[in-house]
Amino acid sequence: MAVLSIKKLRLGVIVFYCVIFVGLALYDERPDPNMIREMNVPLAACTGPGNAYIVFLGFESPKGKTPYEWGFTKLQEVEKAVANGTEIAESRSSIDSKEERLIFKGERPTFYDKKDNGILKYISAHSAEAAKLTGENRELLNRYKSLRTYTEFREPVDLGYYMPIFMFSSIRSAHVLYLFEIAGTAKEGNIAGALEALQGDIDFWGHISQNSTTLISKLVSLSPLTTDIRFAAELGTIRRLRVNEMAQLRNVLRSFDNRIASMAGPLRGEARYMYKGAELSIYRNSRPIEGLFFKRNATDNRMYANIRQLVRLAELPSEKFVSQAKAHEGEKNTFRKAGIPFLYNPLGEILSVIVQSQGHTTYIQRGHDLEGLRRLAWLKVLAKHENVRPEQMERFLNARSAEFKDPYTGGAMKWDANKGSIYFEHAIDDNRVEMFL
Amino acid sequence: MTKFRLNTVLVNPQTLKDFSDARTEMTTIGINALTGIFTVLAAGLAMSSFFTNGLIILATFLFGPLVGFLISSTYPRIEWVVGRKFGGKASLNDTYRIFAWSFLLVGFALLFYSLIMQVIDKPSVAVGVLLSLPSAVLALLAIRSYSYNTIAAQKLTATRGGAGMVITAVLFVLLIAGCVSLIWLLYRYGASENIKAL
Repeated sequence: MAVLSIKKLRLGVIVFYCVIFVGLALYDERPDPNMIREMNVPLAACTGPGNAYIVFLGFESPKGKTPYEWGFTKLQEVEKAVANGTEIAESRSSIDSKEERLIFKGERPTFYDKKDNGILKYISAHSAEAAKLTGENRELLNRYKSLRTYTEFREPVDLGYYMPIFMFSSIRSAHVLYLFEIAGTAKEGNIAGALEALQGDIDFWGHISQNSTTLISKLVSLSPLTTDIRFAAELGTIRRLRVNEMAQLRNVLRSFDNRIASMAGPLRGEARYMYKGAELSIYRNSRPIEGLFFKRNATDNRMYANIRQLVRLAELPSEKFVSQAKAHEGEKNTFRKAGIPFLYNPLGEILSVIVQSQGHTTYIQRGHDLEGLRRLAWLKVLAKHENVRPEQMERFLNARSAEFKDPYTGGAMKWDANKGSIYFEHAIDDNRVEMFL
Repeated sequence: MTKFRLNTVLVNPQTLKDFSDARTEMTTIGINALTGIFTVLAAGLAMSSFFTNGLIILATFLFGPLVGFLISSTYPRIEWVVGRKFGGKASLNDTYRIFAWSFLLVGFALLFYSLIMQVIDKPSVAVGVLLSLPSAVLALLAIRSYSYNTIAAQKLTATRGGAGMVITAVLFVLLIAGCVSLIWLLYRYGASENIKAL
């Protein structure tokens, strides 16, 4: 009787675990209906003639081809390869290697990372070098100036991981050349003209930033905006500004539209980028055995939930963002651990946990930094115009704290007497954003 | 019936043998399940920074017994086969029982160590070694007890019995490595294509 019971028990255990394993291997979640709805909203075509994304893509086009033409060809090649399921890397490299790209000649100087390292100062001290750089890269500068005629910015996020990423280095270098040109105008005494040109540049990059649907393009657009703000502060302190110039500067350094600084839009775009990317690469090429450990719906749901959480964080005002982000500090910057879905979706669950801990809060912080930097720029200009001496600086910053507060603490900006800079500290790392006076 | 007293069992290995002989096979199966639960819980706690408590608890109760059953049906069987090659006289039931009761203590030692590491956050090397001592001593005494009872049950000399045990341990590790390699090979060279070919 006892022997029979043990045999039955063993059989029961075997059957029980077979059922469990088969169940876990076959089970997948239902896709989140919000995700399905959001991922299937049709996007406008990216191939319109006014799309700056295509010009960015072809910015280094060889002579004889316009940036738009070259960018358009590149995009079409990738779209064709994705549609046909052919090797994308090959088609990409064939486009890039066929013709000689127009690349920036010389070394681009860096600015504003230390005291007295502004563009105006550089132009005064190194006018020959600046003229040489501009002369050798005239074509890139002209291309940069023509960017303003492109009034749209739409990225083909539905290409997922195959979406061509533009090379920002040449655009950034051309941006510096453009600021050299503006600095030249300012040195001739035409501050109003310089501010007008700078306003145009800020408007352009603000437009790109506002319409960015991926983190990469958002971060790319924040880079020239940051330099522009610092340059505006430098222009504002070149001498005591006239009333009309001050009014212009006020416009240049006006508060940014929330959509320019917020990472919420790009994060939503990232959700689609990842969803479509997985659809075109992982799921299209996956083998049946992988499906036992990597469930599509469960993985997509988790990725989508991660992004939604980040979007909510990105939509918070800077001070609330800090308190929320800090609440997760003890969790090594992760919002979530692998949970029970790991049992039926081990690889997908691990992937989603790893992906959500890739420092997205730092990117959100970059957006808030922009507004803080704008306030620092204003403080620099006002300190100059009010002839604030170093020993008076703390009192000055406290007096202006209602209008120009630290974006993360809500208190006054800080003064570093040793470095001669005003600054605010980052909320979730040890860095600071500072502006040298 | 012999009572399970940890100090007696650890100091005198024969006590563990007497104790395991006095229990039913059903109880031994339960003990294997418990050892598995201890082992999986210990592993789960070690990875608690990555896994939620819910997952650790569920995985422990769902798969812990399975791990216990798999190990306890494999290791004593290898021990029995190897012992026979060396002229051992123990039955499979003997090796199975001795293994079950000895390795309950090893599983407990693992769990105890994991729990201590949960309480102490990032200990220094010295503190870490110190804190692992009770678990290490417990595990070593359990292995000593297992070795003593197995050699006695096999009725082998210490040298032959010891050699058999070392071979068993090596074969067990090779078996696990073989299983892992097989899974890796299947994955690496496309099980789906092979399945389709069949």
